[in-house]
Amino acid sequence: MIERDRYPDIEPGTKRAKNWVTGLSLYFLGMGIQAGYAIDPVIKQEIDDWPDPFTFLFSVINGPRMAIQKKDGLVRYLGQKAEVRADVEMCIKNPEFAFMLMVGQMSTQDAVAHNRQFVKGDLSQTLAVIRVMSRVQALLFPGFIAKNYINRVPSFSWLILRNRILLYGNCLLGAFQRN
Amino acid sequence: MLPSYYEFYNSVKIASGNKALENIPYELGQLGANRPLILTDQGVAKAGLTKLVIDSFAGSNVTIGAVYDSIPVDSSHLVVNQIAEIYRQKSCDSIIAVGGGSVIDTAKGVNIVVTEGSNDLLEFMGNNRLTKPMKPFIVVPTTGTGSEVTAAAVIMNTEKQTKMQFTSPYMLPKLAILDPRMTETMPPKITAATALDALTHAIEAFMGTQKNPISDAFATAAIVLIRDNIQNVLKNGKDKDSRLAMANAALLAGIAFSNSMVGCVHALAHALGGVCHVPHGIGNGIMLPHGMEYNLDAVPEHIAGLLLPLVGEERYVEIPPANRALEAIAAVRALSSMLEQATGIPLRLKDAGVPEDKLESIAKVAINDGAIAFNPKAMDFDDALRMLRAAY
Repeated sequence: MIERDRYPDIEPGTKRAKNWVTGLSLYFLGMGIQAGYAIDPVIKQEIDDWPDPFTFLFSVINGPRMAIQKKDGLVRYLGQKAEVRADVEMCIKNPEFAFMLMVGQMSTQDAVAHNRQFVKGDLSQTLAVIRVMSRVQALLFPGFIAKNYINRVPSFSWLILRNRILLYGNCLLGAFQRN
Repeated sequence: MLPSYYEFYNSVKIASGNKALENIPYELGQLGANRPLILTDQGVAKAGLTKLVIDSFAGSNVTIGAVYDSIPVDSSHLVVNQIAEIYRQKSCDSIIAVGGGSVIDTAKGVNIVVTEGSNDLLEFMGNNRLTKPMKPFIVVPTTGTGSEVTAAAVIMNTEKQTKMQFTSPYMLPKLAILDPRMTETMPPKITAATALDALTHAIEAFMGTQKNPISDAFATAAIVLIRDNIQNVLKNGKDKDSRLAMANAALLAGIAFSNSMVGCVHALAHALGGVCHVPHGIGNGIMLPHGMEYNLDAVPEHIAGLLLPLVGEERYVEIPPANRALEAIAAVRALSSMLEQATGIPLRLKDAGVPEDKLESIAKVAINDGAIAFNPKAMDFDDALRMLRAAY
């Protein structure tokens, strides 16, 4: 018989703070896509090419998630608790990778190159969603920050600045309404 | 410099050389199987290659459960589902693919369906969705796509008219057989296109965002084998050593790109195939120098690193470091021109039968191709169109 006390089970730790940051970032990303569709012509043009209906789920194993749905020509952020049957799911393999992705320690391109994620569904459709997420990040952040998130930062224009203000306004208003 | 993180995986046993086919019965036994389903296509069957494989079982205790020899060029999920039913009805316990990319990818699809106990391949579209080891699977390549060592398959969805991608390490075959008899009847044009395809696999793996020291070693070894054997194999197709070297080059390039992935050249070649039915190797060959030029400002040191395997030591040392990237692109162009003169393969999209008014459609398809995610530079619609026009 082994001494059970000498070899105790070790329960996994938690990443509450990092998951909270990831959840907050996913809110801005999700609301950004919803608002961006109404505000930004680049996002609108991309999403118009998505199938209708179409549901995209961004998830993290043992971490937060968020869903976006296009239905009847409308784009809606479904929040982080919606139970959906996604057409395409992009799943991050560990909460640590999701945190790095959300705070700009790892770009989307690196997340793909380093196999930090996997996709359930049509890979080509995933690329179309990634382009929209990249555009939202380009609107959310000024160029010197956005370059940590995305591979190709659009050059500054007054349109981007205007859309950035509108996007933040919509995200904050959305948070207020949800609460 | 090492990448900040990388992954590399290849579990395929490789049997290469004289009478390699005759190892199949023993290897099947090692895998616990004795009733394989053989998958192939009409071209391979008519060339007598399927018979060579069947004959290799003589004297063994293996019963071939069935031979399906009608896999089309652009195989679909319906073909996969149909073959899976044959596998079940004939109580097969393993799969042997004899053929090129379409046959091998179809076999991978069949293996997914029969392993997962499903009736429909569509349930498994995406990457890393498979969760259990698959049925014993052996590949005997007859062209040189490198698919015998890749963990991916591209299969047509005929209902949506799109190409579906499946990737998972579980899809890797257990064994790849390289036997020179399987490629010695390949005509010069296809030999040239296959060489350009393998060269593109190696070069894009060496330039891509997933490149790593191990994939680099496989990629450069593939380029050296192509450089040293392509002329001889075109002059004398029956030369077994050169044929085997080219088959090994395709396999090495396959291992490289299965772990480092391909990029913009493949995205454009896939789109050229989808929209205008340009053969994959030809599309790759036409777009390769343009893809290298496109990536030049993003990864000049990687492109310069290709010069040594492309031209060899003597020529390499004569070229100043600042010129090596451009010289590498020039070396690829020179090789392509040599293949054009020797076999008549097209080097411009116009000559490959691509209508100019289709270029925009091709660019639109290319930017949604999975390969583009691994290109060192983000290619947008305008970039894709510019490259296509340059290649026209």
